[in-house]
Amino acid sequence: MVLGRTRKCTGIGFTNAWSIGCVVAGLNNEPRLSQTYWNIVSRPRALQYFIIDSISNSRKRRMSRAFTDNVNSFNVSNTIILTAADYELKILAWLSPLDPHVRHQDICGQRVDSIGDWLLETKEFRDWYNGSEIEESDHPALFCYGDPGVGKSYIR
Amino acid sequence: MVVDYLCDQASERDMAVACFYYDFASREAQSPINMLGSLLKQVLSGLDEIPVDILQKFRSQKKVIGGRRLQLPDVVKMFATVQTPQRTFVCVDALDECVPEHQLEVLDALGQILQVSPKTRVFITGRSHIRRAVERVLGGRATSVSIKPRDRDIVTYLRARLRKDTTPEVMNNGLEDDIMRRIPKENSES
Repeated sequence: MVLGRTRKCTGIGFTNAWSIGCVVAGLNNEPRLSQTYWNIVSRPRALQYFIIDSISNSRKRRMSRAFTDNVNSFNVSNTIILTAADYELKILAWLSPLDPHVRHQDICGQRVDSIGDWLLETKEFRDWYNGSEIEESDHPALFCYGDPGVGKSYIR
Repeated sequence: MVVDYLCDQASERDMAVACFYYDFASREAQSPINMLGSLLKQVLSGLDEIPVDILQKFRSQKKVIGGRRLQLPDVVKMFATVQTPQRTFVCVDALDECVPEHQLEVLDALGQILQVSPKTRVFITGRSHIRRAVERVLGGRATSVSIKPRDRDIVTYLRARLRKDTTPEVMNNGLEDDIMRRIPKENSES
């Protein structure tokens, strides 16, 4: 793992920040580290967040200090990755507080194998799944309807 | 099953799957914006990176005191920014269990998403009575399939249930045959 030299983080913008360096905001926006970003974490995903977070000069200075106190490269890279994940989680939580995975797992556990497989073989499903090149005959939506208890939720 | 099928396919191909389950008991929390936000959230979690437009939107709303709530048109626009070569499959279960006033709103938003994001495909389940609403809002873009258990499904299901019978000692061949004969018959006659 190669650590680049710490440089002053200037010009935080979308395009030029790579070559300049990165500043990472930790939880509650506390400074974690400042770091030139050559090849330490080659994760464009992580990088974008730092860049987009515009940061005041005084905070940048504090971050610089935080970094020099924290030279252990493994700590540094872990911090970067975690912070990026935190930031991402914040954005996702902002989009919606709901998490429907639990219900899916519930239903999967109760489903009996092979029941309803016929749907996957129907022309309607195949056409919906594969799509049609011709816009007029394409049906991007498939609606499965039925009476209560016929197993709609199980086939979905 | 469809979701699992799509997920299986997704692991081999470049495609994203997002699903949402309406539930009568939690209809208060399942507002249209939360629902569509949740779908978008799932699509984003599958991407390598969150699109810049969405990051910017997140940044700019944070400047408003207490943060600004998302609006439906925002989410529709965000779906449009997720322009990847991959196909996105959106599955919505039990749309009829959503608050009636919200149903049209959600369908309308899904319709708009189909428009701005042509690689998206939507799968919806619901009771028969919302079929008209679905067809009205989505028009020619929707195909409808009636779901009714096939006889083979019923037999498979009964066998699975009987295998799990907690009191097999009170079962005898006559009763078992009876069950296996009469229940599928009721189904095919209904």
